[in-house]
Amino acid sequence: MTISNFADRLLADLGTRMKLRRCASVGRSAIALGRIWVRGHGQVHVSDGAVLDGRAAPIELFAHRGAEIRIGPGVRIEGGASLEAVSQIFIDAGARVGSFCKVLDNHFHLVGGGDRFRRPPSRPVVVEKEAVLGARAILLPGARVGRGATVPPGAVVSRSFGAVAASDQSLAGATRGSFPVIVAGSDPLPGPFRARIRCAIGIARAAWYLRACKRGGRVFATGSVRVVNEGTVEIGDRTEFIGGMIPSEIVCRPGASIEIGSSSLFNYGVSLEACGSIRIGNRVMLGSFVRICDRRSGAAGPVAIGDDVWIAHGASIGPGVTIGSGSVVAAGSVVSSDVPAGSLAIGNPARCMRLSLRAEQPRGPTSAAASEIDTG
Amino acid sequence: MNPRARIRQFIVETFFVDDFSDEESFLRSSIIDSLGMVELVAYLEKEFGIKVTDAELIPDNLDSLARACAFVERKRRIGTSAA
Repeated sequence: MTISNFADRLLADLGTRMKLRRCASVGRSAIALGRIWVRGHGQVHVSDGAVLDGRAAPIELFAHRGAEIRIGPGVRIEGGASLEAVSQIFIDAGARVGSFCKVLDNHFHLVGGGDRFRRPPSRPVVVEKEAVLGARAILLPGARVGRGATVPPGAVVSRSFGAVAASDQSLAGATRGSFPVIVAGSDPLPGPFRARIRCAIGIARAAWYLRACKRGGRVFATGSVRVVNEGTVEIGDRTEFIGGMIPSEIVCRPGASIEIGSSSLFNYGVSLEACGSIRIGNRVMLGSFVRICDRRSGAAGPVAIGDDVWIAHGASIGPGVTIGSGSVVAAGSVVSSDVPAGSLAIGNPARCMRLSLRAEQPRGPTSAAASEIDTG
Repeated sequence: MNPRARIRQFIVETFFVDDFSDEESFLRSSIIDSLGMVELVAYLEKEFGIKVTDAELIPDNLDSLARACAFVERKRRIGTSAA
């Protein structure tokens, strides 16, 4: 080995240590390239030989307080992947996580009625040995990808997928145990002074990024928003834009209009593109990478989204679609026809079912324990 | 194989559950989640050659093995009487 070669390796290793310094443990030959975001107060463990390649887009490893993300030996994670744990996410040895995959062990919002910002119970997510997650795949709470299974690109998994090793002791142990239910906002709040500063910065940031739009009061942004406004864009009071790996984008073509009601919430990477008209109601929640466009090849028509609608990660709303108030669009769905009020749109193309046709409580001993804590 | 056994076999193989009764609610006992419901509907449509409209996606039609079977029978009867 030449000296320069050795120096390169030393530098790369130093870079990895630096990027993964917030992890609870990092294996000896783990490699981190590009941008890696390790966030939250939980524990992230990266094992030997894991490769996190965040050169194309940042990789997000978010472990909430008391949660755990375990990345096994030789796992490869590609850019844009986001793992967010409230209880536990376990990626076993040799698995591959494709670009822009989303792995969640909690839905973060309750479906239908009540307080949407209250968190439902979590269910651990497990990706077994040598499994492959295609690009943009979405693993929802309770997902378990079997050994060597391949999840197709863009697929949504919310249950066991492929041949799951039920007798695998190491995994059985990994998903057992109860996890505390943390209600959103129960984290210790920063002092009132710091909170006020943060609020002021958020409002100033929103004022800067959304300077081309007509805004209501207290519009808040925790990250950048890209705006191309050649028409009219109106944003209601107290709308919030959350920052992330990719900025949200509002594009309004000449003569078009975008209207956003008050107290709506935009996660990162939301893309709104209006050639005619897009109207979004009050208290709407848009998940990350949601795409809403009122023109697609050969089809055009105004898009209207009612009050209190929740559109989950990666869903796409096509031209001419009206979504009734109180409805939910499931993660990764492609909506091309109207959704009645109070329903759940799911699949590609999306089918609408009444919100009553869904499970009240998730299955499994973990979630049962969690829901006991929740109600108690 | 009768429809009941076929649907049961599909649920057992797809959702990895084996101990559930004919009357047990899929949703209350969380055998199937909402994404699973879509899979079940897609299976019923393909397997039994029926067309389920969005308005029929309600618990009364699908929320237990017995209800799903009755629904399939009803749809097939309507299908054959119309034809």
